[in-house]
Amino acid sequence: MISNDIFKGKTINLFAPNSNEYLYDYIYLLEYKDEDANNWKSRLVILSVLKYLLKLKIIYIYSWCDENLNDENRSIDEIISQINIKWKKNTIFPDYYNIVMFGTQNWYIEKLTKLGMTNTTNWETFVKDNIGNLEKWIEENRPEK
Amino acid sequence: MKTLQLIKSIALTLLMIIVFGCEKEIAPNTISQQEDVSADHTVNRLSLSDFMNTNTFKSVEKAIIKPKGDQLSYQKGGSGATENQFEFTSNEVLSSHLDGETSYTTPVKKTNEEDSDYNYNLLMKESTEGVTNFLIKYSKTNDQIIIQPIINSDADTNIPTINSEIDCTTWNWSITIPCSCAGHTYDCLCGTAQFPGTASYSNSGNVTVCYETPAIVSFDPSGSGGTGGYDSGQNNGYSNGGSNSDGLPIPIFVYEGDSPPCDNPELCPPQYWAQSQAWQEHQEAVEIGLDDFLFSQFINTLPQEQLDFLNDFDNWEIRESFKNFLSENGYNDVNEDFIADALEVFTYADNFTSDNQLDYAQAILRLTTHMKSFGNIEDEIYADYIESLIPDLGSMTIGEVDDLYEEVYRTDRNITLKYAVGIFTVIATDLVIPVVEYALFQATVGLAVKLLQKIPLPMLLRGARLTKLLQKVARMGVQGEQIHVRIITTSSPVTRAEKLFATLTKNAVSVAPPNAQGTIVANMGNGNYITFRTVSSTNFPATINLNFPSIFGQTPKAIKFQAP
Repeated sequence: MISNDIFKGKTINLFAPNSNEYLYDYIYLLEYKDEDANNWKSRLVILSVLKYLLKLKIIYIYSWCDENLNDENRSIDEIISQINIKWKKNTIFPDYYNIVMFGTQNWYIEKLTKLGMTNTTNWETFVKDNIGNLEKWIEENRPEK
Repeated sequence: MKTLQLIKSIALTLLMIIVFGCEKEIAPNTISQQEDVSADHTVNRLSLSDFMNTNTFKSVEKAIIKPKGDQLSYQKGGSGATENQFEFTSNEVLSSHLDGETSYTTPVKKTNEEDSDYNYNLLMKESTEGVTNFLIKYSKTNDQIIIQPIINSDADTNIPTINSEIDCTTWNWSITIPCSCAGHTYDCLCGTAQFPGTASYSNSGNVTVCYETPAIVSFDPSGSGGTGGYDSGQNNGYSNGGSNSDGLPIPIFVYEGDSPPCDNPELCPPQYWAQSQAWQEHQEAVEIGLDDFLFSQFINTLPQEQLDFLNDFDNWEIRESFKNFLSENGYNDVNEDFIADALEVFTYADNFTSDNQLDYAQAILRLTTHMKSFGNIEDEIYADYIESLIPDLGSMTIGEVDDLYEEVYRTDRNITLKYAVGIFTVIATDLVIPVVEYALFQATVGLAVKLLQKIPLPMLLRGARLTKLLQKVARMGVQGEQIHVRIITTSSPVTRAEKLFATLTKNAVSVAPPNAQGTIVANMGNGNYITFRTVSSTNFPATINLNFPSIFGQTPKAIKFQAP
């Protein structure tokens, strides 16, 4: 359900490598606002997207900002749960700098770099011109484990 | 004002004397004898001997021409010299008749001139005011036409003279020709062109109708339609506007003589052609020529150094701008002083060179003082900013100081030009942005820190100036993977980013202490924030986020700094 939506239109930028680092990047890309921190439906969508990206091994937790947490043995659900805990109600910009920081998985960057992606390449154009069906491309290229 | 009217009157009179117009479109280049082209305007041919029997020729024969067989002899200055001796080269003469005015033209050549770059036509024009004679000299490459009135300068001896020393205060013709290079224009004033692209402003000389390849070549001698330039094919290259009331050019005829035997008429060389564009330009010149004339009169009062500055091709924009300024605002002491002051500063700045920081300080001060003379607060903010840097010049290298000086000089020129054309919307941000860009991309880190630190507070107060500054900053560098990301590649990226952040947040409501990751957030009020951080999961050593929803929308701008 999620995949069908977010691979279309502007939300393709959710998959831009080395680009979306903080929770607000995902919230705003999905066209939600700070106030949606108080809306359980909005939170559900946002957290589901993050879960999906983690599951596809596109992103990982780069840092928990103000906490030094070990994610080594954490499941994706536990990570999402932790984000949910830290993403408090009434969170507004710039509180996001203290919640969580995301990074882009190396395999993803490397494969895209081989296709010609750089940090000054427009992602939307790149996907259209060089990849086409990104969902399919990820399925075919992502590591199995 | 009276002078202006007098000059206008003279110019128009001269034009009326010289220009012969036609009412309707005329025939292509090759026409049969005695063919009427239109009811109002006729173009005919007659033999040379018939021409010499016309009243027109006879009436002036003694005054200007000493025929020797088929030779015309123009003698210069009564000395009996033969350097301006011409002879007929054709047995035909082209005549043109319109509204009681008849013109005759026929090719001639300089008797002793071989392999000339020019062709010549004798042009005789008869109107109710008498007969006026001209020598039409045109380059074989068609990029220059010179019209030389032939006058009888020695009433006692009746020795004719080609007037190569026309007093330009009387013959105030001039034209402006678009240049094909970059939208520039060149003025051709009375005077002899030294070489294409450089107008001559001497007080005497030939009347140069135009030069500067290829501006003048706009007609099609083959008659198959315009080949380029101004005159489109709709008039077969021979546009003819009669008295020019309909805006079409009035042609001057240049006659190249008898057509050689030719089996294929389409391939035959033209027997005559109409140098339409020359007259069109000339006609327009009368309208604008006065400005050129007045301006040339004005600048001739300037010191040679300033005159040289204005005649320098690199300063053409300034010259045009000043001319337009005086044209629109009037030639009076106040306006002329404005120009003179600017020129004084510019010529000084243009020639300035030194290896001493103190000299630079003085030169910069001179520029900033000039900027402040406009009385605009925005210029003053900028000037104050630059002056605040002067105490630091001693700690900068000569190269750095020179860069700064060049930047200030460029700004002063731009400001002056804007004032000259009546644009008073300069705001300090526009002036400071180049300095910020210089600080971020070119200056050494030490200088960058100084330049950024001292950007004046009035520019950073929350409001229009800051908004504009942020908009400019958000467009610096190159776009990243997404449209809200900009990437600035520069040496010492962290230091520069940090100083830029400090500058932009000088007037912040509050700046929070760094969080656990060292991220610093400045609250700019009204829900706006600027963030500086060195932490990154994307390997950029420094990032500034501009979160101004009212300016950029919800997604904050990310300015990412990286080393080359």
